[in-house]
Amino acid sequence: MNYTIETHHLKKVYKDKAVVNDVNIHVKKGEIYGFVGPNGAGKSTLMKMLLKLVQANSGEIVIFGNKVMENDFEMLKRIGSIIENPYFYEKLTARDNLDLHCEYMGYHNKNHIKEVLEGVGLLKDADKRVSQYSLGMKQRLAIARAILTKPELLILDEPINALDPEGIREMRELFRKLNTDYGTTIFISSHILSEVEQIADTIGVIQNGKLIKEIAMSDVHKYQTDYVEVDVDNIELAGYVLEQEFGIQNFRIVSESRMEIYDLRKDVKEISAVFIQNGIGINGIGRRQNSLEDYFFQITGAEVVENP
Amino acid sequence: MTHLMKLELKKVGLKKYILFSIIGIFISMFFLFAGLNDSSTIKSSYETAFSTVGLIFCFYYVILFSVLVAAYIINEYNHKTILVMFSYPINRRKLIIAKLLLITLLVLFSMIVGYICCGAFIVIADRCWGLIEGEFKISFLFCWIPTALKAIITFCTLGIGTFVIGMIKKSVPMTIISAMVFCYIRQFYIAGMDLYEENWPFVIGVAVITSIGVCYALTYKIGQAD
Repeated sequence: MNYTIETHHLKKVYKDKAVVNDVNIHVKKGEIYGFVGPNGAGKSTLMKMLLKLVQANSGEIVIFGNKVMENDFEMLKRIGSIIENPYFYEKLTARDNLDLHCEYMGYHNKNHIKEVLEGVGLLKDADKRVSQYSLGMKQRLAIARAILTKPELLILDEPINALDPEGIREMRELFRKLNTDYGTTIFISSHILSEVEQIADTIGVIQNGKLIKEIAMSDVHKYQTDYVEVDVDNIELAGYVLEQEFGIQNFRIVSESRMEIYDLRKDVKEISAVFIQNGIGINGIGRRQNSLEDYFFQITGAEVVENP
Repeated sequence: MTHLMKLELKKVGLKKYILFSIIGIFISMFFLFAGLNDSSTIKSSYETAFSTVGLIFCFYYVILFSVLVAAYIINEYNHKTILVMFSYPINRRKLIIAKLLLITLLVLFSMIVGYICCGAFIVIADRCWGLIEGEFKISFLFCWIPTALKAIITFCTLGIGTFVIGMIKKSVPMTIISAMVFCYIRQFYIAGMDLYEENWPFVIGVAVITSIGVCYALTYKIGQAD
């Protein structure tokens, strides 16, 4: 298999705590790999290790088929990255920051600066100092900087943080375009699981420093079952009616008024009719599908759904 | 290396450096004039007047060095822009050495200009107001120039010492405080040894300790971006 990134038994310990523990990830060439996990799971640390910003205690990293060595910085020429927050020289303009980036990366096609600024919607603000930018604008500029030198691999740590919905959509399209048009491999972490779901080919789930699952999105979709969600005023009676009238036992009461029915022998229309006949008030009813978020919480065992 | 230094200059610019250099020279001239014009003490000789320049320059330029270290290097760590710098395909040690070399060259140049200006000021002030005992002779320069060079080496070395402390603590206040401490150590040594200026054992001692510190900082303290 042709992998752009591979790690073997990667480990990082901070103050006797393993923040990355025996992690083996496999990012195929040309794919979008979504790296998900709760806060403090070790996502950023692992991304920093890939960029040699943090040294591993043990294990090895293979990027572009070559083992990453301590004093080899050449591979960084082929990588674009965003780590933690969008950091810039605030007194310089956006254009000057990108110009500097080109110089340090040894990339001489500076005409591309205008193109990427246009791509992230910052061309008209290109000559403003970065200190005058909002966080969302800085995030866009960080994306522009990451893609400026047309890297083969993008390592993006929470790249859509602070973006508005329109910005998120634009960046998603930009990443897809880079992936399909230029074959850029993208290793992306995000808290917004619905976004990862829309963009990733493969996901890796990390929790407490351990990679607990690495799975193709096509396989995740197999787990995503359909169900009927109902919101009623008498949940006990609704459960009783389902069992008595339809013989349905495959349902789950998720709150005082809400249940999920996984047995789909009866459709929404029939279920609502029988509820009404039995005097059960219906606040809402509809067909749903498990999302990546459900899958994520199922495998991590987390209970609270957090969305930014 | 030259290219890296040029890029550093592009990032921080020269405006503040030039401003502080000019202010430094004027402050030095002011203190020199105030000292020479003090009627409560006996008239200074050219030797003592020139050693006063060394005293003022020690404080001003070692602190200026530390301020530049803080602005060009330590702030990169504090503002986390070092994460961006370290994602470039350039040896990290080389990046930091380029910064340090640039600071050293800037302070060196400023000190040379400062010594020329203050030396000239002493001579002119004596001509105009007769503040100094005796007359200026060209032969004084054969003493002044080596003294100035030795002082410049010492001050730059002490400045590099502030880089070592700054890298260890990654703290702007510690960097600047270390500059003050180093200046006091120099003054204590000179006063203790009853000298007008530092002697070669002191210069060599400082250079050796600083070199060890620089090696340590470049080996163990560069990569700690977190």
